[in-house]
Amino acid sequence: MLITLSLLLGSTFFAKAADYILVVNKENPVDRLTHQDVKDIFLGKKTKWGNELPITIVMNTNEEIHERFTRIMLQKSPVQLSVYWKKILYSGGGMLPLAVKDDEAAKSYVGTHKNAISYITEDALDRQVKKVETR
Amino acid sequence: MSDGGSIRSRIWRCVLVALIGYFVATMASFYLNMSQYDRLSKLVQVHFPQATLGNDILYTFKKQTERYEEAFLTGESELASQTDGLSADLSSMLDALLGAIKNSPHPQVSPAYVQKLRDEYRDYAHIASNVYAHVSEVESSLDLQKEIAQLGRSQRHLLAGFTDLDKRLNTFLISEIEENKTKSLKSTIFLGTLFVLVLLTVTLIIDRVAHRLLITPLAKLQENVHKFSRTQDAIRPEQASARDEIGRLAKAFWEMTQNLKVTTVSKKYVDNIIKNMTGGLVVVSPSGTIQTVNQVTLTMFGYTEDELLGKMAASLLTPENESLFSSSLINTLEKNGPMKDREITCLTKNGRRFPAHFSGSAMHHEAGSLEGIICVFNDITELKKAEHTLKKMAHYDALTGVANRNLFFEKLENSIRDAQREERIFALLYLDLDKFKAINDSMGHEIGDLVLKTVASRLQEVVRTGDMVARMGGDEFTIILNALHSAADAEILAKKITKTIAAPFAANGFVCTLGVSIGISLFPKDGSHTEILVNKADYAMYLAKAAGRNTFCRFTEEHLDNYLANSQQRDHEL
Repeated sequence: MLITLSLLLGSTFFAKAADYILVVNKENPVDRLTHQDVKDIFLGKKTKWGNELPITIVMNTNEEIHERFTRIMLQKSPVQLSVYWKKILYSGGGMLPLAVKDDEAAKSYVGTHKNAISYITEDALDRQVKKVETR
Repeated sequence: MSDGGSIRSRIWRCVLVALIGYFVATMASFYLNMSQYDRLSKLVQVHFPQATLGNDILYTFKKQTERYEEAFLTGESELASQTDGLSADLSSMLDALLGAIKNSPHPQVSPAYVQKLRDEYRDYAHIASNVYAHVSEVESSLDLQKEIAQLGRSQRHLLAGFTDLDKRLNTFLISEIEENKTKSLKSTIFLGTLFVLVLLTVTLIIDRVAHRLLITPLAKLQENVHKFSRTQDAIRPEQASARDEIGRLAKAFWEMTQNLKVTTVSKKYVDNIIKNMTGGLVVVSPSGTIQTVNQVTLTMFGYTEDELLGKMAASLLTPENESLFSSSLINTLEKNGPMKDREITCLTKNGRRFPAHFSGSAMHHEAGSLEGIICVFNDITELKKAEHTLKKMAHYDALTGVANRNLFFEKLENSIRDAQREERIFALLYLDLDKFKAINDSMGHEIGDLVLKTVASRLQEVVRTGDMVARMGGDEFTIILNALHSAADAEILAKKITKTIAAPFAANGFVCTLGVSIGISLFPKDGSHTEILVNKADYAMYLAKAAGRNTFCRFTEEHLDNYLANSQQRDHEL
């Protein structure tokens, strides 16, 4: 029943809210990532870009986008993701990802950090960052 | 009687051997069980607590990290501070383990390793108690995050260390248990083998001892008894073997056999006597059958033993003697006692008769009933022959072979008796050779003897069957003429005799002629008494000699007066 409820909730958000896109630094050669790549990156399983540079994850904690991203891309609730990362931290597997409070902060960080990756509202895309296609 | 040699003490020695074997086996078993006990004790007191401690440490550490995690995730700083309390427990456990390992003679984990882990843990516990007290501020502080990540790595390292420690302790415990298992199995096999060996050894020893002490002496004794029963002779037991009961029994048996030899007559002995008897022994049953015979009997009668046994004893005798073995014999023997040297005639298998002396005596059972008759036959053929020779010597003249004086008088009596009964007459001729003394003196005794032999044989030729020639001694002969019809017959024969004697004969190269003077007396005319008949014939012979020799003279009535006068004179002279 819980699963049904969450699905219902998810579809509600899916219908109402604006969609998100993944963004990286303009210098980053990556143009597209698979769904699995995205998931691995944001769950800390893939920590390096193709050119061996470390990936810096930026969590856009803008409520709506964050929720949509975690639920659709990572199949987790924001709370679950938080616990997930705390566990990684606790077991010494890595540091907590960087968290920013909105699209602007996210764009600003990604725009200035070569190895960063984040997600923003589709509408908020501008020249500071480069969009990465996902499939 | 030394106890050392008795069977009882030897059996006790066997039991002692068995007990020693049992004791050795028990001691070995005791020793092995004790070492097993020691190992198990060590396992329980040393290895097992260490393994448990290792396990507890791991468990407690896991519990602590879980609680810290929970506190971290939930932000419950209170839970975190509660969890700090486990650090002291874990620390003391580590101390205890370290102490135990240090005291352990063969530590399976180096104390340095445990010490390092303990020190690492102490650092970890110290940092953890500081870090987790501020868990609620984790998102805001990067330093805190760094510390937590550091702590997480340290925690992972410790977990690996404790797991390894636990594993090593447990592995050691298991290997110890395995080792004990192997040792137990080895002990069991060793003990089993030992018990079997002891059992075998003891069995073997007891078997040997029993064989030496009981079986062999008993077998020897048995053999000796058999030997004695077969041959009436026993082997003297060795002096040394008389130390135990069986030895003494063997000795006693031997002594008994020696006593028996002295006090009893063996069958062999009796058989020997019977075999070597000169007489034929026959034991006859009361019913008259033959029960026992000896070799002499078999030889004497020409039978084999099988032929005789069971046969009627009467068949050994001639038909006229058969009645000897009648029931009356038993009565006679019972009444008069043994019969001795009764003369009988026996019959051999091939029908030959021979004279024998029979002796018989009744044989009784100890209870008194008649068992049989013991008969002894002695062949007296030779005795009879000797007797016959003796008889002949007594009745016949050794030189001439004709009857002698004794037989003459005997026969004369017979003739008188027969003639009286048959009412007939007979004559008595008294012969005296003429001039025999001269021949004897001039030509020697040998020729004299030859003359006498010639005369005797000529006289024998002349007389008829039923008549008898006798030599009275010297050159005097007598003839009894039994079958006479008249007195004239006697004179005819006398004349014939004078003729016959007068015929010349050769003696040692000489030719001799003899003469004979014959006196005749007649029965019953001249008397019915031997002496009278002889005297009258003698007298008549003198008359014949006086008449001119080589003639004969018959006694007649006319001679009676002179004869009587002559005989009275002779009596008087005597």
